[in-house]
Parts: sequence; C-alpha cells; structure tokens
Amino acid sequence: MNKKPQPKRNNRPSVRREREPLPWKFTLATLLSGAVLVAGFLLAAKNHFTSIDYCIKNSELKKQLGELESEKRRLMLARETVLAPGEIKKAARRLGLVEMTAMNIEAVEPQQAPATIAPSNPLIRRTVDSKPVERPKTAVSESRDRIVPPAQRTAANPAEIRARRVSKTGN
Amino acid sequence: MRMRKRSTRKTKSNPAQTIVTRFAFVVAFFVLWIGGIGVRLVHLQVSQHDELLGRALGQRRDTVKEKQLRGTIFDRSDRALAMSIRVKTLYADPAEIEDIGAASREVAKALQVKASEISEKLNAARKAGRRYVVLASKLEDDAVQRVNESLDDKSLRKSDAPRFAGLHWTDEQKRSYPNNTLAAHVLGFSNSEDVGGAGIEQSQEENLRGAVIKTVQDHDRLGRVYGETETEQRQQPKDVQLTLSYSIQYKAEQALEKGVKRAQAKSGAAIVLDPRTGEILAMANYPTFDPNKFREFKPEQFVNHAVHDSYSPGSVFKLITYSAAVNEGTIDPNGSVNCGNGVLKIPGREIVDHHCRTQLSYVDAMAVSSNIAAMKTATTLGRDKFHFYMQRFGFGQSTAIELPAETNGILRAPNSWSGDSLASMSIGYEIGVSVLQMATAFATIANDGTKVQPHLIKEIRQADGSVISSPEFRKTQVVTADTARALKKMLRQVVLTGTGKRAQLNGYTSAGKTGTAWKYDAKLKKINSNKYISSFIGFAPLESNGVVIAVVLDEPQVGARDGGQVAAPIFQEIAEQILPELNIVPDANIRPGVYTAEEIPSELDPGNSSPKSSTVAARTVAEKKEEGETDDKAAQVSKASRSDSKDITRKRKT
Repeated sequence: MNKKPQPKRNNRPSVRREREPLPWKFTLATLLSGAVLVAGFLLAAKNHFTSIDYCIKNSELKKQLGELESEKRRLMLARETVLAPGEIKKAARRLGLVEMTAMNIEAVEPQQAPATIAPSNPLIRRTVDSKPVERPKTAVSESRDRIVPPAQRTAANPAEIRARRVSKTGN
Repeated sequence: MRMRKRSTRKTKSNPAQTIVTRFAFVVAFFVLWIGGIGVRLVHLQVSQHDELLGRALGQRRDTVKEKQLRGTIFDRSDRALAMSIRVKTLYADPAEIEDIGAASREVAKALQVKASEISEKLNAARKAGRRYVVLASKLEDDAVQRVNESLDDKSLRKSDAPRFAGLHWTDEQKRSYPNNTLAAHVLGFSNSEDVGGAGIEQSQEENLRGAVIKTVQDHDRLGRVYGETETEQRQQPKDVQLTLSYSIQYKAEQALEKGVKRAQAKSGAAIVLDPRTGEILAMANYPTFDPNKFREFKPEQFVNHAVHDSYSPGSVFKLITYSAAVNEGTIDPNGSVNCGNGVLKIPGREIVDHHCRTQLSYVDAMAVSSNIAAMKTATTLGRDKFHFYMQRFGFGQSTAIELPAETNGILRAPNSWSGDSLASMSIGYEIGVSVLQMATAFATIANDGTKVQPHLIKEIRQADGSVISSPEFRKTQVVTADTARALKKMLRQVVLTGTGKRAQLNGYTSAGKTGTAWKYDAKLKKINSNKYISSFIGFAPLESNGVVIAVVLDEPQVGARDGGQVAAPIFQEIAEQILPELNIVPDANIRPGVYTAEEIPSELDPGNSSPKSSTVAARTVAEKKEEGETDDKAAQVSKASRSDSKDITRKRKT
C-alpha cells in the first residue's frame, strides 16, 4: 500500500507581511478633512440654533411692538377724551372758572395808563374761560415788575393793580 | 477508526469558514434590520406622508387670524374724532371647568356680576356642547389686568392668562369716539362687527375697514414663535381727514342746542361752510346722539337733517329768484318794483303783502321779504329760465357730499307745474331742498357767483401719514360776479334794516336772508299753518370771503317763531365765536361791552409779543376803517365809547 506522502503543513515558509510606514500625510489630511467637516456641522448647527433664537427674539419684539402700538393708541384716545371740548368745559367748571360774557365784565378806568401802551389798542379782550381768583401777592408783584416801568410802579393805584391783575390771570 | 476520524473532523472545523459564516449572519442581520427600517421609512414617508406631515405641522404650526385696526377719522387739525383700539374679550370653555358653581362664584366676583348668571350660561353651554361662552366683552387693558389679578390661581400651571381653569382671552377691537356727541351725525358709527352703520363710517367703509390677516406661526415646545409668514397680501386700512374743525363744530353745536332749546323746536341743523373751497367746517344737528352708545338711541336720532331731509325753504329761496332775474337782466337791482296795493292775483289765489303796498326798491323788497316783489320778479323770468337757474344752483340733485343717503330734494320739471307754481316757487314753496343745498347756494353768491362742490373729506392717508388722495372738487360759475355783488348788497340790507337784524355781528359785517315756511303736513295732506320751518342763512364778512352759516329750526314753538327771531341769533352766536378763531380781520365797528377775541397788547406781555401785536394792529386798522353800511347807531356808540374811555381795561364781576 502506497502511502502518499502527506505534505507538511509547517513546511511552508512563513510569510511575514511587512508593514509599511504610516502615511502620515494622508492621515493628517483625513483628520483635517474630518475636523473641517465636524466644524462645519457644528457651525451649521450653531447657526441654525442662533437663527431660531433670533427668530424667537424677533417674534417677541414684534409682539412687543404691537403691544406698544396698542398702548400708544390707548394713550392717544385717552388724550383725545381728556381734551374734548366738553370735558375741558366740565373741568373748568369744576375748578370754579366762569364763562366770559359781557355780563361778568365791567370796565374800570385806571388813573394812569402805562406809557408803553398805545392809546389805540387799549382793550383786553377775552372769550376764553378764566378763573375769577386773585393771584398770590408775590405773583402779582412779579408780574407788575415785568409790565410796569419802575417810575410808574409807585404811582399805581389799587384800581390799576386790579385791572392789570385781570389782564394777567386769564387762561 | 474511520468514525473516530470523522468526529475529529467535525470538531476541528475550518476557522475561516466559521468567520465567513458568522460574518454572513451579521451582514444578513444588518441587511434585514436596515431593510426593515428602510421599508418602515418608505411606509412612513410615502404611504403615510400626508397624514404625518399634517400631524407634525399641527404640533408646531398655528394659523393666527388677526383683524387690523379700523382707520382713524381726523378733523382738519388732526384731532382724532373716531379711532379703534385693541381690547380683549374673556371667554370660558365649560369642558375645561370641573366645578362650574365654584368657578362662577370666583368669576362673578372678579367681573362684579351675579354668579347665578354665569353659572346658568356655563351650564347651558356644557349641555349644548359649546366651548365658547363670552363672559365679558371688549375690556380695556386696565380692566383686563384687574381681572387677571383677581382670577390668579397660583397652584394652576397654565400658559395663558388668566391663570384660571377654563378661562381665556381673545383679542378684539373697539371703536371709540373720544368727543362723544361731537359731530355724531357726520361721523356715524360702526357696529359690533366693525362695519360702518352711518355717516362717514358708512360711506368710507372701503377705506377705513381693516383686513383680516392670516399669519402662519411656527412655535417650539415652549410655545415660543420662531417663524411667521403672512399668507395673504393685505391692504392697510386708511385714515380719513375731514374738513371739519372740532372747535368750530363744538361752537356750532353749542349755539344750535341753545337755540333749539330756547325756541322749543323739534330739531335743528346748522352748517358752517367755506365758500371759496367748499369745505364744510361744521355740520351740527340737535337732538344728537353718542356714537359710543348708539344702541341706546332711536334710529330717528341718527338722521342728519342737514343732508337727509328736504323741506320747503320759504323766503330764503328768494335769493335764487333775484339772482336769476339780475343775472338775466330782467330786473335792475337798483331799480324798484310796483306792488300795486299789496295784493297780487295769481291763478287760483290772491296774495296779500303788507310789506309792499306801493313802489319798493328791490333792495328793500329783499330786506322786508316781500312776496309780491319776488313773485313779480319770477314772472319776468318765465318758467324755463327760472327752472334753469334752480338747476344751476344745484337744486333737485345731490351735492355729492361724502355722506350716505343724501336727498336730491324735489324740483319738478316745468311741464308739470300748475298755474301758480312759478309764484309759489319764487318764494320757496312747491320745492324741496336740503339745508346743504341752500347753504351751497348762498356760498355761490358769497364766492362771487362761483359754486364749489361742498365736501367733508380733505385727505385720505396711509397709517404712516402719506397722502393717498386729496380730492379735487368741481367749480361752476352760476351767476356773474356783478350779479353776486348786487345780491350781496341786497342781503346786507336784510341784516341792516330788514328781517335779519338779529344777525348783525359785533366787529364783522354780515349778510343773509331769513326764511319762515309753513310745513307740509303728511296727515292733513296740505300745508299746516301752525307748523313752521324757520331759517337764517348768511355769510360774514361781507366783502372778504369768510364763512357761510346756515341755521334751520324745525317747528319752533316759542315767540314769533320766524327765522329772524329764532334762527338769526344762532347765526350771530356761531359767527361771532368762529370768525376770530379763523383769523378773519374784523371789518366793522366793535360795540362796547362785548368781547370778541383775546388780545393783550404786546407791551403788557414782553415775553409774548409779536402775534398778538399784529392782531391788535389789524384790529386797530379795521376799527378805524369807516364802514358805510354799518349800523350807524352802533357805530356812533362805539366811537363815543372809544373816545371817552381810551385805555380802558376790564375787570370781572366775581
């Protein structure tokens, strides 16, 4: 019986793959590309969330603007309501102002008129509501100081002072 | 031995084969897994795409509908007469409320209403399955805050206010008229749906209406909106600026109210018109209404008698008769008319005129309002000419003012006139006119014969103030300037010596015509001699273009009831108050004891000199001017007063 010779398994020469040195340039480029890609993703994500944040802020500001405009309109309406002629009249009456008519005015003749007043325009005319109260003495003296020349100030009599007071108290 | 070998072979399998097999299993597993995922993805993204997209959008996207605020109506000085503001309405969703009784008590306390009313509403809505029950509508900001504070349940986690289970706010708008009754008949009102129901609100609906804006909003899980898109192109509501002056309107309304009350008249109307431009400065009606509470008033009170009603004008219409005759040259304005013995026979009637018994100049005939003189004047014209002039003055047709339901008046064609129609029309009967038409006719004479279309709208603007349209209005030369001057002279005489003496003004010349007409009684189907329409229409100052003022009272009950007695004083009051405001320089003497304007000599107030001093100077010049037609007596008194009391100052009685 012929026996076939069995091939020896271990007879084969052991082949040892030689490792090539690491291609560091290639690796570096790959890593760099990866980093750029990751950075890009991160940047995009950041931009995305920033834009959403801006959108939210924008929306809030829009809402705030709308509310402020509404408030402005409300204030405008309140102003118009308060400034309505009827309301002003009511307020004037509450303050004790009386409506100026020919009935509640009388003429007084001052003894001496200020030299600066032209004789052709002597009348002080009013149609507006005016308060029939006298000003504090200090205020009167201030106004008198402004309108009457110093030379005449001592010569002014009570009637003149009263007349001037009237001329300055109307509103 | 063989068997043994075989078993050995089995145990010693090929490791490479094993790896490949295992790898194949793993790959198959992943293929199946990824394939499954892929199939699922295809199923989700293809088969269920629309449904899932809808669900996804539904979670993050809302469509918000918002109505823009209605445009604002301003007066000529940009004072708001009508404007809209945002308000909130409180509503309840009964499905979200567990204990309706307890909730009702809390809400009633906050809203200061009865708890039983609220619980009834909520119970009824729950039974009917309704999820929107209005509890308080159109509350303003301060009221909303008060309710929110009152209903604040701190234990409840709820994103929107009020922090109370089942209660929510919804945005709405509210129309407000800050001056209440001022110019109510001109402005009209807008109803709860913000649709104009009368006046300018109705006629300018297209411009004023705010569009409904649909906005698609994307929001995150916290409810913050991060994306908004408007789905429809919109047109901004526009603002309307009127020619009215709120101040003049107020003064006209006050004077009219006083006049109507004094005469105990049924109603009254007044118009103040600028004859040069046709701008209406005031249009007053009394009784009036408050457009803020228009539901509390009867519909009859919304009638603007100045444009909606037509009436027989009576003697004020003689202006048209004389204008036509003078313009056609059939009478000489400086000439005279023979009234016979004060009786005129016309077909079917006999007219008796106590004012004109012999020869009378046309100027005096107008002053005393002679009917026979006017009828004879109309006879010189004939039917066709008279009808032509009535049409030229604008009668029988609308003035095209920007108000709804304006009357055309009644003007019949000459072929349908009866035998005495010409005579009747010459004195203002058998014709229907509106107050505005009559005011326009007088404005034509005041404006030297040129008729300018009366109007109420000055500008239409965008919300940012940019002007969209500023309408131009047509002008028509109706009579010549010479005719107008002659008519002015005649109308001046009415005020100086005729029926309109009460229309004399302090500091200004005035001219006008009184009218007292019997009313047509629909029940009696004839003229009722117990019911009058009394009017005075005039203008001031006479020469420079000032204002035309028309005053008409319906059924005055007190005194003589004629236009000179009841309407002329209203004209006087309005004119004396508004002419200084319009910076019109006085052209006549100022009677003592009456005050017309605030004028303080500049020397008295050094800090505020120039404008007042110029006004004083203008007045001084005007005072020095000799006015030939002025009431001599008044002028004499005035001059004497000035010479006696130079440097007069005034004090008040307190």
